[in-house]
Amino acid sequence: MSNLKYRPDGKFRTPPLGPLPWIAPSLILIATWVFWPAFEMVRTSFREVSRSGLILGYVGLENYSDLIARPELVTIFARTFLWVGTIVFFTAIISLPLASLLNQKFPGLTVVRWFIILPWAASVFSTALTFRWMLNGYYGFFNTLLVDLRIIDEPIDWLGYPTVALAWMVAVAVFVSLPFTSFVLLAGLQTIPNEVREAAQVDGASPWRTYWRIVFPLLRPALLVALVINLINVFNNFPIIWVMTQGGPGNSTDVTTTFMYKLAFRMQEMGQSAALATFNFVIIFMFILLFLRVSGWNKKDEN
Amino acid sequence: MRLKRSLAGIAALAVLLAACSSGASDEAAEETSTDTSTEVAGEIPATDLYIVMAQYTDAMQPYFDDLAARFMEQYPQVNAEVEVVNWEQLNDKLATLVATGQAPDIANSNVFANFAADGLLYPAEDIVSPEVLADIVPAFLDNSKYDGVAYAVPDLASARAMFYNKEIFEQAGITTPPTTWSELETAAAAIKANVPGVFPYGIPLGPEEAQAEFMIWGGGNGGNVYQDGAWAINSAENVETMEFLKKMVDAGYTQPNPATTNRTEVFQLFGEGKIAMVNGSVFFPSVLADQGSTVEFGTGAFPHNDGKSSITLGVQDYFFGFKKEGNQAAVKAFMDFIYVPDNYLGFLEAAGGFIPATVSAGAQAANDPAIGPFIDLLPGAIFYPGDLANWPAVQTELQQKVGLALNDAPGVLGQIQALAEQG
Amino acid sequence: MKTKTFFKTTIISITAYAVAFIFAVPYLHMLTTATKPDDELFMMPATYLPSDWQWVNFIQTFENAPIGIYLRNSVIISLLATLVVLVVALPAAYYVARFKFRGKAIFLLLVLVTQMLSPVALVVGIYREVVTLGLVNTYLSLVLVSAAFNLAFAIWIMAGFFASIPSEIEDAAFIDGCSRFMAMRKITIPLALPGIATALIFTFIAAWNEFVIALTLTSTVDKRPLTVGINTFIGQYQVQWNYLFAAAFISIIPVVILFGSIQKWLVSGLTAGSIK
Repeated sequence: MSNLKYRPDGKFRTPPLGPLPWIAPSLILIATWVFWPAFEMVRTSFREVSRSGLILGYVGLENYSDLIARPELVTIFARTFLWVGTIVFFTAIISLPLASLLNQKFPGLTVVRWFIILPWAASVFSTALTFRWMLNGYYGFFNTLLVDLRIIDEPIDWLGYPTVALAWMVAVAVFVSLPFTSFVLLAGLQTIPNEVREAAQVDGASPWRTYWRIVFPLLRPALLVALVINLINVFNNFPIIWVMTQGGPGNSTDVTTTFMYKLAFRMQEMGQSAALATFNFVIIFMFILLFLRVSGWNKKDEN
Repeated sequence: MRLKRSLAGIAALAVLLAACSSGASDEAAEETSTDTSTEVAGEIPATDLYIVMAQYTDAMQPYFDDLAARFMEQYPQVNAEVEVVNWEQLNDKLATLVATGQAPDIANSNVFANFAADGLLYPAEDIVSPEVLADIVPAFLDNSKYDGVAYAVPDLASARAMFYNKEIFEQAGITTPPTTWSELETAAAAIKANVPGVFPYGIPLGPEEAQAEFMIWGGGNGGNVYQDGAWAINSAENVETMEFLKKMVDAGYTQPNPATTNRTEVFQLFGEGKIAMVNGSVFFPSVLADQGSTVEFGTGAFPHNDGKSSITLGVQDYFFGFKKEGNQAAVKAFMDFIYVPDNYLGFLEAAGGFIPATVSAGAQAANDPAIGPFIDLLPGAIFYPGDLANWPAVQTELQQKVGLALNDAPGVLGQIQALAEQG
Repeated sequence: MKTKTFFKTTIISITAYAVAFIFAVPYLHMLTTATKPDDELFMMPATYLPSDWQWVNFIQTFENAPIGIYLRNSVIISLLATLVVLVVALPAAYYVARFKFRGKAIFLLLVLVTQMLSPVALVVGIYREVVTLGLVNTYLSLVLVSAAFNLAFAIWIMAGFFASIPSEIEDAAFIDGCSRFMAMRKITIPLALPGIATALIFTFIAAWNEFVIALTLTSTVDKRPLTVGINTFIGQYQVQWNYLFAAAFISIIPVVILFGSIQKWLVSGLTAGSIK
C-alpha cells in the first residue's frame, strides 16, 4: 500500500512497474500481426516483384509512378471518396431516427432489436451474396416483386449497369452499417436523462425542436464515434463490391480496395498493389487525424 | 450434384474408355509403371510433396486422395498431399504461394509461362519419363513451351463449338445451323420474330470467360490476340468483330447487357431454353445434364464472317513442377503415376468430359460421339498464347474490359493492346 | 391522454415491426432459397416461396460438403481468438482507463491505426509472416490474426467502461486492504461485465465472419472455417445457390443467438464507449 500515493484528483500514481506489463501484450500482438505485415506491404511497394511473385530488388518509386500513370486511377479514387461519403452520410441520417425508434417502449422491443442486429451478425460476404441473387436480372426475386407491384414492366438487370449497380451496392453497404451505428447511437440516447427532455417539453418546445435543440447536441459524441468507425470500415471494405460486381464491367465500379486486389492477384502487379495499399493507408490516416483534430476528440481525452 | 454430373454425363465415356483400356496398351503401360517403380523406388529420397490441383468437378478431391494414397503405398518414403482448389481462387492461390516462397511441388492450372519466365519450373522432360512425353499430343506439347522449351505437361484440353436448341430452330423455321455471320443474322431475326421470350444468341462478355468469347468471334473474322509474333488485340479484324457484335446486341439478337453477363448465366439460360445459340465447350453437355436440362441440342461450327473460315478455340490446361531442392525424383514419380493409363483415365473421368492430352487416350476418345467431333475440330483450332509470360495479365485485362469494347471498339481494344505491349 | 399514448404506441409498434421485417428480408430470402428444390431456383419469374419446402437441403448440405468440420473449425478459431483478446486487451484497457502515462496517446494511436489497415492490403504480408513462423495452415495463425485485428475495438469498449466506473469505488477497496489485482477482480471486473461481454462477443463475431485472411491461410478442409467452406458451393459452371444459402444460414444462427443473449448488455456495453 505504501508505494501507492494519492494524486490530488484521487487517482493513483502509476504502479511501480509502469505501463509495460499492462500494455506490452497488446503491443506485441499488434506489432507481430498488423505492423509487421504492414511494414512488409510498404517495403514491397518499393520493390520490383516479378509476374509470378518473385522479389527482384528495390526500384525506388517506380511502382508509385507506374500506378499514378494508370489512366483509371483518378476515377477510382474519385469513386472511392464518393462511395465512402455517400455511405457514411446515409448511414448517419437513417441511424438517427432508427436509434430513436429503438429507444421507445413498445411490445416486442427485444425481438425488433434482434432483427436489426441481423446484418451485423451475418458475414458481409453472405449478405452481399444474398443481395446479388435477389438482384439477378433473370432469377432475382426483386424483379418478381417490382413487376407484381407494377413498379417496373419487365425484369431489370440491376447489377448490369455501373451506376445502378453502384447505387445498389451503396444501399447494401448502408444496410450492413446500420446496426452498429444505430446501437452506438441508442447507447448514446440512453445516457441522456429523461429529465432533460421533459424539462424542454414543459417549456412548450415541440418534440422536433426538443430533438434538435437538446437531444441531438448531446448525441454528438456518440455520433462522432459511430461515424469514424463506419468511415474506416467502409473505406477498407472489400467483400460487397467484390461479391456483387467484381468492380466491373471494366473498372467502372472499382474502388481502391478492389482495384488493389485486382492489381495483386489478377494483373500480377504485386508492387503496384502494395503502392496503392500504402497510399490508401496514408489517406485514411491523414483523414482520421484531421477528423479527430477538428472534432476535438483528443482534447477531451486529455482532460 | 457435381458428382452426379460426372457420373451421369460421363458414364458412357468411362465405360467405353475402361473397356478399351483393359486392352494391350494398358498391359504395356502397367509393365513400364512397375518397371519404373522398382527401378526408381530406391532412388527417391524421403520427400514431402505439396500438390495443388484444379477443381474441375467435385470428384477431383476424392480422385486425388485415392491416387495419393496408392502412390504412397508404392513409395512409402514420399508423403504426398493434394489440395484441390476451385478455379475462382486457383491462380490467386498459386501467386500467393509463389510470392511467399511456398510454391507447391506440382501444380495444375491454365497458365504456366509466368512461372517459367522466372525460372521456377522444371523442363517437362525432367518431370515425366520419355515414354509419357512421347505420348502427349504434339500440338498440345507445342503450346506448353516457353522460349522454345516445354516447361509444362498438358493435362487435358477442350475445344468449343456452337450449341443450338433444336426445338427453337424448328419453331423459327431454321433448317440448317448458320455458318456465316449473315446467315446468323437471318437466323437470329427469324428466332426473334417467331419465338418470343427467347434470346437468339447468348454472348457472355462478363469477366468470367470474356477472353474466350472474344477470341472465338474474332477468330471467325481472321483475328487473333497474338499474330505473327506480335500482339494484335486491336487489329482491324477484331475491331470489325466487336462492331458486328454490337450490331447483334442493338438488334436485340443477344441477351441484354453482354458486358456483364457471365458464361454461367448464359449456360443456365440455354439449359432452360431461353437462349437459342451459345458458344459451348466439349464438356457443356455434362453441365446441361447436371442442370437437369431437357433441351435438345445440336452442335455446329462457329459462324464466321463471309469470306473467312471457321475456327474453334482450343484450350488446354497444364501440370507443371516447381524446382525445389531434392524434390525432382518424387515429382517425376508422381507425374508418371498420374499418366499410368488407368490413373489418367480416372483423372479424365473425374474432370468430366474433356479431350485427353495423350495420343493413346485420345485415340480411344475419338470414337466417343460426345468428344470425337470436337477432336475433329482441333486442326483448325486457335489457342491462347499461353507461352507468353504476360498472357495471364493480358487475359485478365481482356476479361475485365473487352465487354466495354462493344461501345468503343478501337478505344478499348487499343488500351488492352497497349497494356499487352508493355510486356 | 391514455388513448393518445395508445395511438402513439401503436404507430411506433407498427413502424418498428415494419423496419424489423425489412431488416429480415435478405435473411428470409436466404432461407427460402435454401429450401427451394433444384429446378425451382432458376424459375422465371422467381417464386417468392418454395413450392415445396425442401428442408432436406439442409441435411444435403452437410452431405455435400464437410460443413460439420467447417463449423468445428470456426468455433475453435473464434473461441480462441476471443480468449486471446480477453487476456491481452483487458489489462491494457484497464490501465489506459485508470492511469495517465507517457506514451498513452501514442499507444492509443497505434491501436487505432490497426483499424485503418485493410486485411486485403495485408494479406500477402501476413502470409509471408506465417510462412516465416512456420504456421501455415494452423489454427494458431488464424487465431492470432483475428485477435490482433479486433484488439482495438475491444480495448476501446472496455476502456470506456472501466473509465465510467468511479475510481473511488476501488479506492475504498484499497483502504480495506485489497491489492490492486484483488480490487480489479472483485470489484471493477464484475461492474464492467457488460462492457467486457460486449467486447468479447464482438471479437467472436468478427473472427467468425473473417473471410479474406482465412481463405489464404488455410489449405486443407480440416483447418478451413465455415466462411471459406461456404465458398466451395460456387463452382466453375454453376452456383448451387440452395446449398450455398443453407450453409450461410447455418453460419448465422450461432451468432444471432450470441448477439441476442447479450442484447441487454450490448447497449450499456456500448454506452461507455460512445460517450468517451
